[in-house]
Amino acid sequence: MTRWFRLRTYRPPDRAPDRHAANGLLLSAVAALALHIHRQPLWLSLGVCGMLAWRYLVENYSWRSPGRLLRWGLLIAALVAVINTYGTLLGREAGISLLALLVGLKILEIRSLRDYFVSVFLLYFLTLGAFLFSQSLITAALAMIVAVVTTAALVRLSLPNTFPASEGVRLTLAILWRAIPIMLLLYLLFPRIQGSLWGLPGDAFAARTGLSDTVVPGSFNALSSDDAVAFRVHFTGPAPPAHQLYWRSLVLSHTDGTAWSRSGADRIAVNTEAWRFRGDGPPVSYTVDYEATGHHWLVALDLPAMVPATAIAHPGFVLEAKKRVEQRIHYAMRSYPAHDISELTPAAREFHLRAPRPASARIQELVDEWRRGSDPVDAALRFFNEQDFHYTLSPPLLADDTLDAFMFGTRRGYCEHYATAFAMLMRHTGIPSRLVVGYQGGVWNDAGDYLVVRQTDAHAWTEVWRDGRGWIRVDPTAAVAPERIELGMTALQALLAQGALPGELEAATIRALLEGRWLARQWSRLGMYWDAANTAWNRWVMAYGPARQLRLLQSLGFETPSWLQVATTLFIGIGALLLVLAATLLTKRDKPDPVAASYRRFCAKLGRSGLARHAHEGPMDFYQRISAARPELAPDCKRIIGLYIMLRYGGVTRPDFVDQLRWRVRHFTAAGHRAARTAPP
Amino acid sequence: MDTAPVGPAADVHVLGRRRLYMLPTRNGLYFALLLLVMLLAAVNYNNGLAYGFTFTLAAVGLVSMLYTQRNVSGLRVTVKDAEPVFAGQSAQFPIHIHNASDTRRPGVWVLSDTQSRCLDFAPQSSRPLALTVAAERRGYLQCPVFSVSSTFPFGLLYTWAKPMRPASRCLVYPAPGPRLPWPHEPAASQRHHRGQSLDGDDFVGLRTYQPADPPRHVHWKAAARGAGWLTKRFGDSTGGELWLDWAATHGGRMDERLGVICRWVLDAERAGLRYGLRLPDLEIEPDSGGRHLHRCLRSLALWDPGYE
Amino acid sequence: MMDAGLKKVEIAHQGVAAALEQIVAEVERVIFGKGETIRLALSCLLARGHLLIEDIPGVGKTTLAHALAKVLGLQFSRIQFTSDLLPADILGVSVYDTDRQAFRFHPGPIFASVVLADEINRATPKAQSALLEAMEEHQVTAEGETHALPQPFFVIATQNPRHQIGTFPLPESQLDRFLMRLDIGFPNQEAERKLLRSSDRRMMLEALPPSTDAARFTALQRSVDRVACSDALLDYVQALLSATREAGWLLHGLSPRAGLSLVRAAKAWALLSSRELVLPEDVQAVAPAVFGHRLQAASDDAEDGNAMVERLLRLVAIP
Repeated sequence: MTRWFRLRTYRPPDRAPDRHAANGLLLSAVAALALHIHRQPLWLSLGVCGMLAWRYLVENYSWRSPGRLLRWGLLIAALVAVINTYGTLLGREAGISLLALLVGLKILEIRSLRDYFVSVFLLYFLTLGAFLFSQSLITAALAMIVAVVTTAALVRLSLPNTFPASEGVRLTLAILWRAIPIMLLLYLLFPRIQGSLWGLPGDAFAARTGLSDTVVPGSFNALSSDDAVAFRVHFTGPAPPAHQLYWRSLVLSHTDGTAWSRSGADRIAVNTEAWRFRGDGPPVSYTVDYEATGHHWLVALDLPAMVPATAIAHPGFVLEAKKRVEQRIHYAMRSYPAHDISELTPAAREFHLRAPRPASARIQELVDEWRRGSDPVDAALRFFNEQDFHYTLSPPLLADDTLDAFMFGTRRGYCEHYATAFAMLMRHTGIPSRLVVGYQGGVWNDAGDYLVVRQTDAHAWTEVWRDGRGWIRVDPTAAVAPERIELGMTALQALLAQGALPGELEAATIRALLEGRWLARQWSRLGMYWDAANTAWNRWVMAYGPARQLRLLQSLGFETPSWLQVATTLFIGIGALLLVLAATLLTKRDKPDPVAASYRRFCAKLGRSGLARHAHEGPMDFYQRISAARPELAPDCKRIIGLYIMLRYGGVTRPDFVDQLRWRVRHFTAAGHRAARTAPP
Repeated sequence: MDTAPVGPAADVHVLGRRRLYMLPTRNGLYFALLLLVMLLAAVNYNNGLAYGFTFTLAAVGLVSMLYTQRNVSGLRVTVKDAEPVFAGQSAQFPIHIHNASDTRRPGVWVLSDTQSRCLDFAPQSSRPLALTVAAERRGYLQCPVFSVSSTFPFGLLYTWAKPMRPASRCLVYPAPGPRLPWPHEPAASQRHHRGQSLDGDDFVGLRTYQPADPPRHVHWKAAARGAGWLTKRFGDSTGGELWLDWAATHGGRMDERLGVICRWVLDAERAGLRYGLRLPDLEIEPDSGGRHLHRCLRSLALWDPGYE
Repeated sequence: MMDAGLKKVEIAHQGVAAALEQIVAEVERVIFGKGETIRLALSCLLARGHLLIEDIPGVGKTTLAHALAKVLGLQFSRIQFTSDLLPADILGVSVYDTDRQAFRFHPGPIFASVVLADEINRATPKAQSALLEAMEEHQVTAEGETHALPQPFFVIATQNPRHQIGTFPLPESQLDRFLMRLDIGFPNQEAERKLLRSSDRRMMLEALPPSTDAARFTALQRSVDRVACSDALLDYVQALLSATREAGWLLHGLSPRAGLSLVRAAKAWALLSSRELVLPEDVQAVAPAVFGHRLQAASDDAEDGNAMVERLLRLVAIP
């Protein structure tokens, strides 16, 4: 160590980078901004681009740089504008906006080499910011491009402009390629901790879409146009048929006559002992990759038979995560096609019959008629089926008494309308009922062999209590538009878009309508592959956390890995990788010339018998010397040296001659001749 | 043919791995800080991609160490003796750097206390450059210490070679003094006697004015400066024989007197005279030509009278 | 096929080899015991280079030049360089022709295929550079008119190596124009005895029959271009060049032009040795003559150029 202190260091002086380096930096700034452009307000993108353009003009067309006063003015304006837009300077979105503005301002005021480096570092940070909003494969790919462009700009900062930009990019890619093993080692072994270091800003996971725990007829409208993925399901066995794919999320049993929400009892966690069900078939095992929602509730196929480690049970076979789902989570599940036979206490029975708004005369007349029949539920379903109810995603607005207006007025709506109306009608009939919210169906991805359920697949249905049988699922939407259940929401939307009326279509017509053109089919197949790639990315890359790390370490032989052990392994691993890289990078690899190699061997053989070739001795001179000193070797040597001269100096490129030279050298012995000579005759 | 003795050792330095040192630059330290902040962000948001991005940059930084080292490692630096100069001029030590590898090496700096040069080496190429040093005193001037350094590729790290102290040196002749009259008239040489006169085409020197000298040969500028009356002498390119004697330089400090002799030597050579040198303990027979000139100047540069 | 060895190396068209052998043999009839020097001089001319012969008077510089010209069947002219020689004495003058009312160019002695520039260091730099310019450009410009010199065109210059008063040694840059510098040296005992016995040299020169003519000699020069020169050999030449650039005992390294000259001379030497490919030995054979006058020692205790080249050749390994 003392050597270091005694040594004088020689550091190259800082040089002001030239115009080309500045242009490279501007390009990477534009690339980094592009990562954020769809999330930022327009004024911000325009503002920052304006600043970058100014710098470009300064560098290339000798414009004047902005003065100090103007720069301060711009900074204050930027702060004010950010506060005006977001109400704060902190948090994820405001922070990124501020960072983008700072990049623009910093680049505008660049003077020294250090300013360039600071700008590059801000750009790296801005790139990192994109991951707070999206961790998809495409974000990663785009960010990698930005990182390469930015790093290539870094290369040009400290090199003379004789080093072209293309070579900078090539060099960056070469270094990046060699850095991959070390990166993987760090990624896998760097200790991960659960949770965050300090409180996250309030908007860290804001504005997620998904189900709501309050249902008012019409409230799903936002979901039906959101084709974001809600969750993906991998089945371990064969997948259940489409009409069984009811994904249960929430049970709503409290109503004020219009809106449905969770009752107080529903909010209380229960022991799974309280769950009783009667199975109708074999169990289904599957895993769910559930996208972040910002809520607690999860999904499970009707009916869940277990509770994952990260979740707790609620009444009505509802699963809730222990923590709000702020990241994509992954859990394994097992379900039975079954129905709930939990005990219904008299108090609960009374609760599930509550109808705060009295029935209108027409409704009362209708339910009385049903009650007189043998099975009011069947009668009600038949009513929906036979009357001219229609399924539509753009229903007319409902008047004050929504039930009456819907049943006898508009008769147009989708799952929410039918489910809420049906549940309310049942309560008026005297049958306990509740609303279940979740998803129905999904689209099968052939490429990845899994089911994709999107927000458009959100669904609401009812469950009615039949004495002696328990809670029975009844889906009035199926009575109106069986296509919704059999074909799925995606197909239904395609049908609706073509003006078809669900519920009255022949199978052949549907097929004709859905098959579409070849190009569209290929496009949707491409989409499937893309989704499959994303899913793999999510499952194997993004989901890597403390739990998986622990499993990896245990599979590597650490029973109870300590921080120190992991750090030591990490350091040794990185050191070893660097040594391997150094060996390949720093040692010169010569292309072995077989001709020269053979000749070297030949000379070495002669050298061992005392006739070493001088380094400066040409082949002919060497031959002269050999034939003078050891005439008996002359014929062999003449052939070998002749071949060597031809191949090395005569421009002859014949592989068979090379083989011959190699063969002759291999069978050449200088010592053997001597032995033969000294042997007695 | 036996192996020949190698001549005067050239100063050859091959920049091997053991002779290279490396430290982060100031910007490299900022980069480390940036990585730390990015890592904190990744931990805090528990963001897998942010981890990945941070680790990618960190790995790139680590691998760039090897590239920094490779950019300088294996260069062959050869330093030679500089051409002799007069005191007051600057000595130029020729440095020759050879890149024998198949990789390009841009941004290689040669650094000394007073100089910095940036070079870009194509694969298998050589670049000459000169290390310039002010030669202040006569005698031998040692080549200054220098090093080869680079911040390639990202400017985050710099590597430098163990400082090189080459044995190369530069012979510094005394600074030529003011032009003074010859110590005595050059004796006519036997072979090329064409009449020693003021006539001829080439200016050969000055002598004290004698009343018969033509006025157009008077060195008016010197007279105007108050340097006394001098006559410009012109002659043919071959002239007489001249002894340049220490004793003929009157008084003054040693370096001034040597400067006067130095000027005489140069003038005599230019005039094509045969001249000899006579110092208190050294005598060089009259001759002329480049080799003789160098011998005389070298004696003046290294002459050590042992007194004063 | 197994014996393809050296036979393939021997020259294919024996005609060229025989012609060259005959030229050497004819010249040797006049200049005794100097086969090596004659071969070097001939390879210099084959490589289209100019030749500088540096030696004391009386060893046969002029005779060698004259004999070469005679045997090659080329037009010969001789210019004795003196201190009062003017450029016009070499190049020629334009004289006003009263009959034709115009200037007419009278070509000087340089308009010959082989020009012997005797004692070139005696003339003033002005006269020297007139000759050297013509050597470089293969043409003479007088009064705005350009006159091409004959093809082939060689200058064989001689100079006395001893530092003499009243001479103008050729500067380095001018020396570079000569492909080779040769010294002849004293003949050995046997050769000298033969020389003393022989009849008058002038008569012998007169009696020399020409073996070629201008056209045939140009064809011989063209076959030099066809001699193969492999990458491995160029590696060796480059190793030699970079050694001169790095050697501390040399004042400065050799230029790429010196390397080019070396390759050309080595090709010609290989052809003279009846080979169609250049070997490191050929390079070593011509290197003293090609590099000798281009190298300068860094220190005072100078070896002469040839000794420095010999040392260089011993230092550099053949790759």
